[in-house]
Amino acid sequence: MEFAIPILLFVGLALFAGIVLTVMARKFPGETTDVENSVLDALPGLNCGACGYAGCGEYAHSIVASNAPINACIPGGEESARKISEITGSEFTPTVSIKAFVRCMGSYDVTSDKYDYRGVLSCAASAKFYGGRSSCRFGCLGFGDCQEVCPNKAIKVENGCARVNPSLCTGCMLCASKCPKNLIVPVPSNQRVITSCSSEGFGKEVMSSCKNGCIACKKCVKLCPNGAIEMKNNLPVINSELCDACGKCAEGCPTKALKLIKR
Amino acid sequence: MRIGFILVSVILVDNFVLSKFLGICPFLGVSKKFSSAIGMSGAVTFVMALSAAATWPIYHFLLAPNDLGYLRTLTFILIIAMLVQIVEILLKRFIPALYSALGVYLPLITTNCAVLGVTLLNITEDYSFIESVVNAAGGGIGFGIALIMFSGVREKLETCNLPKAFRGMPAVLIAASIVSLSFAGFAGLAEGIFGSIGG
Repeated sequence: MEFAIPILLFVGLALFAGIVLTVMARKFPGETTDVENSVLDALPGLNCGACGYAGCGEYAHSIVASNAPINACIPGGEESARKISEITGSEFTPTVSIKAFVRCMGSYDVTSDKYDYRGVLSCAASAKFYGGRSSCRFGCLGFGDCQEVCPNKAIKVENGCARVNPSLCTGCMLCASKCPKNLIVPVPSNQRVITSCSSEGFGKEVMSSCKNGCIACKKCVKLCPNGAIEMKNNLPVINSELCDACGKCAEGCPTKALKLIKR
Repeated sequence: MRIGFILVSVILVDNFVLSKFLGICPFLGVSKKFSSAIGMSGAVTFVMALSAAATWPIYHFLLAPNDLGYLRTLTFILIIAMLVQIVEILLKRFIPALYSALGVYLPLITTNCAVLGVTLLNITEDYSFIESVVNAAGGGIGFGIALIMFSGVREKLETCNLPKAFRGMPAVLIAASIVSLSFAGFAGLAEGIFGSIGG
């Protein structure tokens, strides 16, 4: 019968541990409210942290306790946001989606080739050779490395310059890592004005290499009534918190390098 | 004297992470940021001291008299898991700020082998109750020193331009081995300070 003692002892200890834990959990419940629990149920429970909080629990807590935005959950998307707005009674705001955008307008019509390229037909190979064939040292090379990786065929090279079809783009940003010129940037759907040029050169250089480029004239900075535009590296940077999408900058831009997206 | 000997040797000479290679998982996983390294080492020190205090009487009054010393690994895992859960419940209720700061690291301590290791070593070294608790707390402090020091190394490492093959974990492991080598320099320190009475 000597085998019974260790079994009984161990089972007894485990039972004791279980009882202690149950009693403790009953006696000291965490400070979560019913609203918080139902918000937590509306979230996907992935604990991915894309909302900027440490897991779904903390996000749910912040929604209830400190009015955190209800549309920050990216995997949950609209469905979660809608449910949460029903639970908390706060206004439903659509989730912010992200689309890729190619910050270059240098098609064949406005740029020229600086040499006759006969190597491997890829952007990566061409970029290694004196920075690529395009006359603009920042511009799109047009071999379509980006369109090869796109799972949805949302990005296509048209007339020597890559373009994104926003209705097909899911915002996975696979294309961005393929671009040797780093032209493809994620643009949140609430941003209305985009700089569609990446040239950090001064006006004279841009003028001689591309007719659609930003010549850093700073006209947009002066035109903006809200002071939302700032020049950085000879390119306008738009502060989307101050921008009210009036479109004055895009209207006044002499080369149309600033664009207002219509929605 | 013996207490001081134990403390110096467990913090510097026989450092749990760098000499005994226990608790490597949190050492590599949590050392990315300085702030989380401090939180983690605090939690580990606390749980180590607590579990040493809880497992010593269980071994000496429950297991050893019944000739069940061989059950200690299993039993200690059970006790440590329970303790971590209790600490979690209490923290959540009374200090929610610290609870959310520690986040997932707190339940992860359950499976930290440094915690289990120190309780088992206390038994094999035949320490008294006070010595066990001091050994465990010292082990936690040593773990903290290694973790905090290494997080400094890693923050520097992040910004280095390394060859592609070494980027990420390989560079971290090489750096860890160099840090652990530097701790080998403490060998014989405890005997030097306290004489060989502790041995």
